[in-house]
Amino acid sequence: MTNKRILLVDDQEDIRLLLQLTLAPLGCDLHTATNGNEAIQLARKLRPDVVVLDVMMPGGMDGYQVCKMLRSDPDTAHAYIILLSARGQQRDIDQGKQVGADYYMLKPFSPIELGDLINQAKPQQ
Amino acid sequence: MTLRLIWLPISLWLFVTICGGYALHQERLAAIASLIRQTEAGLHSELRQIGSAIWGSVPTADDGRRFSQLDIPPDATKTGYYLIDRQHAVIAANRPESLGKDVQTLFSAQVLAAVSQAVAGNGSVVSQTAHGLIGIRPYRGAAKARQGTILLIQRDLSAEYVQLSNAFQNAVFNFAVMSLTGIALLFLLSTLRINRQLGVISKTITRFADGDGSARTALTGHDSIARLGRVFDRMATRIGQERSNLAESEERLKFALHGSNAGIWDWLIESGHTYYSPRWKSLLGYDEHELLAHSEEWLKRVHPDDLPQVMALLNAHMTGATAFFESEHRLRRKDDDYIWVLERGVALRDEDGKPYRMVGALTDISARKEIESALQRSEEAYRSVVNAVTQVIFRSDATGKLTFLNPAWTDLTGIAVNDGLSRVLTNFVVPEDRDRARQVIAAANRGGKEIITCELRLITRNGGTRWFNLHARSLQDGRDAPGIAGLLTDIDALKKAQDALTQSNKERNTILDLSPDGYVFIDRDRRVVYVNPAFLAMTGVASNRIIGKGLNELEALIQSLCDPAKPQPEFASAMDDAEYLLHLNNPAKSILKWLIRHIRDRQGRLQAGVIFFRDVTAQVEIDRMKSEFLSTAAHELRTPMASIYGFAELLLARDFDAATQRDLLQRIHRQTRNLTNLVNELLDLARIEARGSKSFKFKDQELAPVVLNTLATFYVPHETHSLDVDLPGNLAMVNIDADKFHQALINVLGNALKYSPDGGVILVRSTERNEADQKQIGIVIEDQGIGMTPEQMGHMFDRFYRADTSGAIPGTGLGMCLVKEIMGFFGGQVTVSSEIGQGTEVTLWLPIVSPTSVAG
Repeated sequence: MTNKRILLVDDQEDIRLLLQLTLAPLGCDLHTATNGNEAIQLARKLRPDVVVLDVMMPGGMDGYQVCKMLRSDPDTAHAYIILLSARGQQRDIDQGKQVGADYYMLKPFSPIELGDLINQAKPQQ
Repeated sequence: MTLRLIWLPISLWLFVTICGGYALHQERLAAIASLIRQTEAGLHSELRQIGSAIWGSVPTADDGRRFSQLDIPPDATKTGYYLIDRQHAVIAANRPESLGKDVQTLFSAQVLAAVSQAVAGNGSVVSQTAHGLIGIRPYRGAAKARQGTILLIQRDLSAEYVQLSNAFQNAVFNFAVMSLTGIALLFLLSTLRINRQLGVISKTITRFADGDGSARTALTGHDSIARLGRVFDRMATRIGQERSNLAESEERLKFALHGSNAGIWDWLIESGHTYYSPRWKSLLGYDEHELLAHSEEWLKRVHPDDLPQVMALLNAHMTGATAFFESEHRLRRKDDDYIWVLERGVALRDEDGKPYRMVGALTDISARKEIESALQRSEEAYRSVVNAVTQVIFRSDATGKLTFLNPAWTDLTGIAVNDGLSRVLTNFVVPEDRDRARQVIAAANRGGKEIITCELRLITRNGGTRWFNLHARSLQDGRDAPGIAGLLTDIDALKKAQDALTQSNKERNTILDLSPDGYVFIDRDRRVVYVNPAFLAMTGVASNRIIGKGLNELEALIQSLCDPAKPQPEFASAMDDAEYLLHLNNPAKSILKWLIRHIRDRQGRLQAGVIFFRDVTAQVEIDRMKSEFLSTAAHELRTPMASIYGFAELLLARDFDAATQRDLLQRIHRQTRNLTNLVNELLDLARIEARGSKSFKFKDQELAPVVLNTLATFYVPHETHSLDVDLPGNLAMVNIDADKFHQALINVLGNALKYSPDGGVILVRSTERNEADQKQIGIVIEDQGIGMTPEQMGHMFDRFYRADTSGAIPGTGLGMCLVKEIMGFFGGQVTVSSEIGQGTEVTLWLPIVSPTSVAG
């Protein structure tokens, strides 16, 4: 399961670093973006197997919108999408499912668990 | 009786017998006297003859022998002849056994006394002794030898006496027998005669009693029975006359009684025997021949309820308290029905005034009673209605004086009926209504049939007033109206209710006018009848576009104001009291909560409806902001925690080189501080909210050092921003808590920094103003940031409100809120001016404390 292509989208440098450190030993092909637009462009280009999306991001496009767009684009629709969010209300989780996310992970989270999740993730066919 | 009758003849007989006996006894005595006289004469003659025979011829003394030769009657037992010498010894006697015996032994001393008497006297003596008649002749000659001799003749008369006695007894016996026979015969005869006469009288009386007025005894004679007969005849004649008078009178009475239908009774009080006339019987349902003959017959028929009264009246009359017994009561007929009767009676009294007889008449008054009863019922019914009605019923005469008032008058006015009568009704009317009342009464007094009405107030007893509706009409439709009759209906409650309703309506209208909530009233036809000003303000619609319109038109109107994306439910199908929301786009974007309530009558028919509208825009917004705050607060808290948690876990799970470890620990440390700040800010607000200014440490102090100290601690990223301070050395004396002002200023500076993400100058300067005669100093913080819309400015002091909803600018939405609270406690103010894209200017105003206090 090595060489999975992973796209990490988060405006916070701390989180990006946290995931880089977590995933580095797994030998993944890790790319990062800091906002929605960047993430979509990068995803179209990279066609990642797994996308880790922060929900609350600056730049006019939040994680839900990005997720929705990724799912609507055939090139990126197959990706396993994990939403990362500090908002833990039910309606936020429901919204995540609505836009087609595979997993909704609430901050704070265990980087080890996230690593395992990414490791086991199977992109949609 | 018989015994007494038998004594009469016996007594008579005894009397006759005794009388006869006495006469016979006298006769016997006469016979005895005659016998004695004859015997005396005989004795004298014999004494002489014998004396002469012995002593006359021969003067010798041999008298005894001579005596024996005498022709003396032989019956010696009947007559004794004795010659007695001077010694009283018997010389000679026709009874040989007595010879020689002393006279004394032969006879009693009585004889001796007679002898002595005879010796002393001259001649013969005859005396009556127990031995019969004794004749004595003493010797009167000269012969000495004979001197003292005595011739004694004893004539024994007992046999004659016995004979006479027997004859007397026989005569008496015979007389008694004869008289008995005679008397018995006489008695028998007289009895027969009396019987005969009494028989005549008896027959005559019987005939008379049987009604033969001409029956007479026609007895003659002077005996008492005949006299009795004649007395009866006289009486019969008299009675005959009276009877004929009575018959005439009775005839009249009969006619009279028949005419009056009276039943007669005649009661002998002692015996209770009572005569009931045929009419009496027929009145009570009896045949004439039925035997009713006792006073009980009517007393026991008196109705039990009437009996005490009847007895009382009867006793009153019996004791003489009343001249007549007169009573109206019920009697039970033979068929057990009761009839009403009038009984009038009068008692006949003896000399002592004690009643012994009572005569009365009974009249059937059932019909009259029935009428009376009906009349009374009618009267009672009428009276009960008049007494029971709650309206005042009155009558007044032509002068207006009240002549009748029913009890409702007292109930409603508290004035006694008697106090109301004879006074004019208008006297009781309150002065304001008096003219109106006079007009009505005058109109009614003019006559006519129409009823005139008006409303007026009467003065009640306790000085209050009461509303009445007056209906009045003339009592007569002729020329001279004798007065009016009228009705006063109490409408006080109605009037007061009307007033109260008017008042209530005023209050309701005031409430509705003042209410910030909108109200729409609909009628039973679901048409709008009322809208309040708040509703018009909410919808921006003129009332004339709504009033009178149907519910569907109102719905269409509101629909046109609504956000098309948010459909509204229809009014008609809305459930009572269920809450619905309206999202209006016009006249302003707002959210209205509405509910409807239908008012129905008992049959469930719609009478009215109320639709209630409340502008909940602010509330919805606050709710939204609260939710947003929670979400944001959680986000803000979780974001640093994600770093802390994640790096800590990696540090525990992996081995890193020293430099990386240090970097990660620094990150943990920094995020921990952020977290602490956030928590502190929340706590500050909570504390201020909870405790107000009590936690403040106020102090008069110069403002400039406080501001400068804050600016010195304020971190400005030099690569993007710069801080420009334009303040004089001394600002002013203010009374503040330096720490709290520092916090307020930091929050404003923080916002200036946060909301100018593209950098720029942050200018801090001072200004002054006079606010309500108070000098104030202001610290102005200007930025060149993104600025705010007027709407955002309106909300900037709301709790949890954040101008940035994207989340890109961190914050809790509490900063400005805290600032406002703090400045408020200082007696100061926060003012803001801003323009979108140009920047924001915030001024913190503080009152300047007076120089006198500065000197101190």
